[in-house]
Amino acid sequence: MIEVTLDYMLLKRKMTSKELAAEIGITPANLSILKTGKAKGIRFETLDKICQVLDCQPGDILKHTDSE
Amino acid sequence: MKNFVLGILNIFAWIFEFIFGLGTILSIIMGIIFLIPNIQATFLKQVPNLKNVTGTIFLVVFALIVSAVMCAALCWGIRAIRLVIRNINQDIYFDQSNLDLLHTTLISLSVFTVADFIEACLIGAAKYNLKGKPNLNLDFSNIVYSLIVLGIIYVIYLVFKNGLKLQEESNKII
Repeated sequence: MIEVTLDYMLLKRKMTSKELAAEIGITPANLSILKTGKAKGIRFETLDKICQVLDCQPGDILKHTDSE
Repeated sequence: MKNFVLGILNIFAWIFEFIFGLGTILSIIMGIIFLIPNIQATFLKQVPNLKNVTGTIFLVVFALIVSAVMCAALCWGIRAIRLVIRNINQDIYFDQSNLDLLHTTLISLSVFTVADFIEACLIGAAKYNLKGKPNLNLDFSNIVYSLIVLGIIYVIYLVFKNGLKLQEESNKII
C-alpha cells in the first residue's frame, strides 16, 4: 500500500498543516484526509503544489509498504 | 442562457403547482358538495338517461376523490421538480437532495399513473351508465404518456444516482 508521510516533511520544514493547506489551496479537512490515508488518490496537480511548497520530491511524501 | 431557461421552467413549475394545488382543493370541495342531497337531485335532473342512479352518484364522488389524488400527486411531483431546478440553478448537481427529490417525483408520478388508470375506468363506467351507450369503452391513451414520462424520470434518476456515486469517488481524490 501507499503511505503518505506528509507529517515528517511538515516537521522538517517547520510548517503546520493549516499553513500547507492554505498554500496549496485545499481545505484543512481534505489535507487531513490525505494525511490519515483515507484518500483514494492524489491528483498530480495537488502533488505538484505540495512538492513546490515543501521543496521536495513526490518520493519524500509517498512511501510504498507491503502491509495492507 | 442557462439561467433564462431555468428561470422560465421555475415560473411554469410555480404556475402548475398552484393550478394543481387549487385543483386538489376544488375536487375535495366538489366531492363534499356532491354529498348534499339537493345538489344530487339537481345533477340527476340534468342527466335523465341514467341506467343506475345510486351507482352514478357513487361514481361521481369516487371520481372526484381520484381527481383530488391526481391533482395532489401532480402538485407534489411538480414541487419536487421545481426544487431540483432551483438546485441546478445554484450549481448543485450530484447531491443527495436532488436524488431524494427525483425519488419523490417518481413516487408522485406513479401515484398519478395509477389514479389516471382508475379515473379512465370510472369515466368508462360513467359513459356505460348512460342509456343508449351499451358498450364499455375504456380510453387508456393518457396512461401511455404517463408511463413514458415515468420512464424518462426513472432514467434521469438513474443518471443522478450514478453521478452521485462518481461524485463521492471524486471527492475521495485530493
